[in-house]
Amino acid sequence: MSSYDSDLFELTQEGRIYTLTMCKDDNRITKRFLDEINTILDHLDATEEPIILVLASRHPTIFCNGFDIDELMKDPEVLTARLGMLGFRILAASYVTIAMINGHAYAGGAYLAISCDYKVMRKERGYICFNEGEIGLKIPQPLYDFSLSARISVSVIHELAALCSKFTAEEAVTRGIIQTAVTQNDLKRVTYDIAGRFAERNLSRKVLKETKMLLYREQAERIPEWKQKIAKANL
Amino acid sequence: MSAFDSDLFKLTNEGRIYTVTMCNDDNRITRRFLDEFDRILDHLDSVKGSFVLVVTSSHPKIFCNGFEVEELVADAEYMTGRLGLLGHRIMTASYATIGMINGHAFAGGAFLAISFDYRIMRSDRGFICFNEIDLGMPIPQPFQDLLLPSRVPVSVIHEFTALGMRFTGSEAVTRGIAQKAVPNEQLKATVDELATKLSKKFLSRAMLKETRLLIHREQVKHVEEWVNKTSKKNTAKM
Repeated sequence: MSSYDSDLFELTQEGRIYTLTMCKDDNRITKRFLDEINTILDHLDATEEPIILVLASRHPTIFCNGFDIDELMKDPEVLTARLGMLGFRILAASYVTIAMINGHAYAGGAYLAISCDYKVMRKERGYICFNEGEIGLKIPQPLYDFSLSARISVSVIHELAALCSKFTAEEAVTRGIIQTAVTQNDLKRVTYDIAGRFAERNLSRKVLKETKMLLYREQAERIPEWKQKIAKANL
Repeated sequence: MSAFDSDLFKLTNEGRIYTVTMCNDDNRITRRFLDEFDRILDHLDSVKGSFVLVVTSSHPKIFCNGFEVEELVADAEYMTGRLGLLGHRIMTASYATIGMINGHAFAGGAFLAISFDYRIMRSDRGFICFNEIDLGMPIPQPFQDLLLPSRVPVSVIHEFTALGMRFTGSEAVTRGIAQKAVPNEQLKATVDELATKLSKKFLSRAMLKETRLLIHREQVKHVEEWVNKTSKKNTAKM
């Protein structure tokens, strides 16, 4: 049953488990992408019972390839700040989030995946990487400030962001970037098994939020400053 | 030879290896537990020369099941603050510490377990788990202020503490939460080997203390605040 349907996203629900499927080609991040996903998360925030969110992609070999470069270049500071804050929103969500990584997760796409609590990725193909460096850009600071610093060790961030290393699912597991690497055939089953087990525990929205805000208080402190930057840029 | 003997703890030593054995059922953390543990650490602080501390439990299946719930609920800030300070004290000790995790370590017991330098867990049974969320409680602030970021790898801290996931010994090793997981029959021998190896290194008490205070300075910053919060009710030791 679909409770949200656009050309970019499809949101479906089965019991306590929501699935948000990115469904436009290689799911390039645009201003509209950010607007729509935030609206969807507003909708989820308004629910009260414990829920699980699975983030998925319809593309056969790509999870998300990051920003639409043309759009990014028109307003890089605002767009990267908005993506940064979206990552924090996912990181600090009051429900469990699971990224079902069916293929390449590059740059902004890697960021979205990593921001989720739990990452399941397919083994035989697809890389997770931050390839901004390869086109001469440094990794945007808000991505580091809001989520990566709370998810990945310093030495691995260095490999990803400075050395632009790209990792297969198995290499990503070793480095603590994702938790589980599986074959394509097992991807859906394993992801929803994990979702189901979290769903059974009925993790209180309030308690989960409280603990996350304690763990991520350093990241949370940076929000007002970035919100200001965005507001100024929008004037 | 026992230097401390109560119904909660036994302190024994063999040469330069001291062992604290928690010996009261599932070793629920109470005010008396915290007071006695602090006294044992006071005694160890007064010992001259280098040594290694091993902490374990005499229960066949349980290391420590966390707080005694009634005492916790009666004054959560005090109890969690005291435990936070105890964990911090262990983490910044002037001697090496090994947790011989012979079974379940839940909530406050998990916190105590991760305060040691090393964790040798059983591979054949027992979980380490912050199950506060399953009990409807968030992670106590003093745990975060005084210890967690220094001990739990950033890539697993949310799984471990926010999502309350439970890990077997082997899973804990994979995630960098424990160093080794062995079957029960090998547990003591493995810990003895490590303790012996550590006791033969010359790790000066002063060097260990100073280095730890440097490495953990973000957590050290919070000590005074929590000593104040817990000293209004009772005398807390640093």
